[in-house]
Amino acid sequence: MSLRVAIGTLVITLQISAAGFLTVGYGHGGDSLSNASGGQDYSTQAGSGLFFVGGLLFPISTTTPHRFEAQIGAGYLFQNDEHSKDDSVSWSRIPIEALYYYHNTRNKFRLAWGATYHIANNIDSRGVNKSAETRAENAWGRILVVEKLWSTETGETMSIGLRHTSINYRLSAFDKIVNGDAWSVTFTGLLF
Amino acid sequence: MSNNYKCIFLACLLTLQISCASKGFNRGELKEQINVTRPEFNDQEIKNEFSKKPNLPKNAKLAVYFKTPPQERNQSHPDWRWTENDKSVFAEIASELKKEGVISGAFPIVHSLVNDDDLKSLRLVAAKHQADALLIISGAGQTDRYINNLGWTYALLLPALFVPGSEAETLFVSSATLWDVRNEYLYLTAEAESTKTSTYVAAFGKSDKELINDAKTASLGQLKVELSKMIKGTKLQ
Repeated sequence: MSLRVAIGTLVITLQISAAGFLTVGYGHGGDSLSNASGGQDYSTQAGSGLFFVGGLLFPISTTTPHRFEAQIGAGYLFQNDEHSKDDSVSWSRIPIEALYYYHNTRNKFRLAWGATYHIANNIDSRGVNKSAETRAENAWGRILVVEKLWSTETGETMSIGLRHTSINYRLSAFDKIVNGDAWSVTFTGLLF
Repeated sequence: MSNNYKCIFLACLLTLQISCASKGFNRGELKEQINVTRPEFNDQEIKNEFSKKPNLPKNAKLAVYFKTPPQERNQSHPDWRWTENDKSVFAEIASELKKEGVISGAFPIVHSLVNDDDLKSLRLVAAKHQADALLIISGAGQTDRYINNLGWTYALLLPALFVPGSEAETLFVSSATLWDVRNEYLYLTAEAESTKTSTYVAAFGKSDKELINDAKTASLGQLKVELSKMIKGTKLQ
């Protein structure tokens, strides 16, 4: 089989069998941004925040009970520290991630490793913390995930999981590198 | 290595060996899929069956029906279908029987005329065609995919593109039953099954549809031989 045919077959197979997914979660951890961005008084940690990620899940090996799946997705990750209408700090990022799952169909759990790339990493602020406003450079990170799955009577598959993200952000304006490592609790719905 | 570590290592290896194994086929489910009747187990029913007698006229007309492939709840379409090639296998048997004067002719019952795949509905459609006998061909297939020991390398992603760590085992069971249209007398039944096994690279494996089709062709070949042997050995009139 020529390489072109092989790649073509692979692409078609992936397109046909892809499923959608949506993950929502909350992460906690990392260095204090308040310290890194000049010592202003706000409580935002570099790894913390509410996030949602959506994308596609491709089966790589549809074997049972040991199945392997790849997932790509993008989303939004943010945290707000709002004291008043005129005194707030928000830390937002757009994560683009690729995860590779081992899925045990018998015991209904998944383990994953993967990478994430955070873009549009912005600290926006109003009021007394206005000077903290800055942009972090795009950053690569690593992800590890463990999930427990269950299916509803109507066939939908959902999971609850724990993920660890390991990432560092560089705040060029303050010449500081902040640790954004975080533990997150996730809830995922698979849309076949 | 201490004895404790050796034991743990061996236990892990054993667990992996066990967990790689195939989960096997669900033969009960396959049997359910090829059935055309659900027998009622009571004395009256058994007595009624004994009172039925073969009454095919000489040069009987034969209607052939290919039972719709079963479809699972979450499937948009079944994994396989009856192809023209499959149907031609039975056309060959029919022409052989016609040549030997066992039947006067055979024709297929098209799916658009059939509301339900159960025996009573099919007999009614066959009767509308003025057929004397009804041959029902049914089939069911299942694919069991699992990883072999090399499959664990898939955890690193790239090996899924070149390591043959996946196994697919496909079973296709086909069955044929010949009924009297007038009184539901069962002249004969024949069954054949075929199993195909293949080892493949995860990213480039054949689809269930392709695997089932391969097993189906082999199974129907066997069913054809079995069926013609039985028809010739059974006194139809």
